[in-house]
Amino acid sequence: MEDSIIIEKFSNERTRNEAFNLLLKKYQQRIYWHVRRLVVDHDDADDLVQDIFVKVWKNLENFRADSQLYTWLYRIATNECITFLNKKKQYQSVSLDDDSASYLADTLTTSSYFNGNQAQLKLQQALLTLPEKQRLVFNMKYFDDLKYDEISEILGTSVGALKASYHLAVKKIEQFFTDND
Amino acid sequence: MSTMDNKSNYQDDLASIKGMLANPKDTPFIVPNGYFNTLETNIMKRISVISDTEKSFGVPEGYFESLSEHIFAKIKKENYATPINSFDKTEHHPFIKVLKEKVSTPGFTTPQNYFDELSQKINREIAPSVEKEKSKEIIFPIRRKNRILSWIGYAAAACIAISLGIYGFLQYQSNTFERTLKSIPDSEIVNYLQYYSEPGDAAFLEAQFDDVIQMDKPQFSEEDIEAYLDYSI
Repeated sequence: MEDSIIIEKFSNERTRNEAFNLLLKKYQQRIYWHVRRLVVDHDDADDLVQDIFVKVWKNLENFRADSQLYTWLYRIATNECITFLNKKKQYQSVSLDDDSASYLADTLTTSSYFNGNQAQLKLQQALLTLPEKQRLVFNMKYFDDLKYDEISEILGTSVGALKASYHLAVKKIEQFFTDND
Repeated sequence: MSTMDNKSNYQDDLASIKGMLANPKDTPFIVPNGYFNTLETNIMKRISVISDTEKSFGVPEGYFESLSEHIFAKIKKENYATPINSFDKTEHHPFIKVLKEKVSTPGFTTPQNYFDELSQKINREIAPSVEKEKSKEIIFPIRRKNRILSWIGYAAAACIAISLGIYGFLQYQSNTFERTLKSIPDSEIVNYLQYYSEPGDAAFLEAQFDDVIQMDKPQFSEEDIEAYLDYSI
């Protein structure tokens, strides 16, 4: 189903529910995995995904077609995740100077919803040592195969800065793998 | 104005500034006392400082010839360490290729049937706002519509009542007048008119109520009239 059709159906009060269910079917998994990779814990991801789609429901009527629907959804999801992670950081009394997501490392090892192999675990551990922005960019590039232009639209960062972030992330992950071989 | 006049003006101007500067080439700037006496010594001192510096900071032989080569070599090395202009190549970095072969998914899992239930959960979350919107759709417009209709109804009823009232009042007024008029005997009306009417009224009444009032027209002959006129004039 084309995004434009979903949006058109949503603008009609009679077909609004139908349109929203189509949108959920199309995007819920993509958004869930994007959120899950950032917050690691399933329950946190579940709460966030619901909040995100409630926001989408409330604001889709005001969505302007000057951007892609999925980049708009990713933007909402990313902002929700960053807000959530900042709160979690404060709650866990993590120093503001610590830009990495190492405070999520325990979640990774204790989560009952992680059954990755050694390489997958190592990659996730490596990702948690990265600054938030680099982790975000790496995830979107590596797992979602998004283009720099698309990531730029989602994060509101220049393509050049994104390329640099991805490059640094790759270097650091490579180093992590070398050090932990 | 003649050429002679112009010439005399120039001469007057020149005469007025005469004596202001001893030499026209002189400037109004001044220098410290004895400046030109020490200038040469100062310049020589600066030259000796530069010369001494050059002697103390020597460069290896052929340094400047090979400097550009050294700079280019340095740039190449820096570029290799952080290829600022080749970040695009990171996408095809050998490490990423190997990593993607080993790790294609993050390794996270979800509870069974999670995504089937997720839609239901979200729909339940938005249900209150859906209900609110539905109630907005149904109740609010109908209330508004009713309000408009009732206003129009009241206005129409008031108009009809006022119209009927005015009509009834007028009817009652006209009936009262006619009834009163009918109750007056014709003889009284005739007497009244005989006493209070003016000469013009007779013609007016005759024209208006020709069929109602039958005035008795006296029959006078032409001779009687002429006699009357002869007598009265």
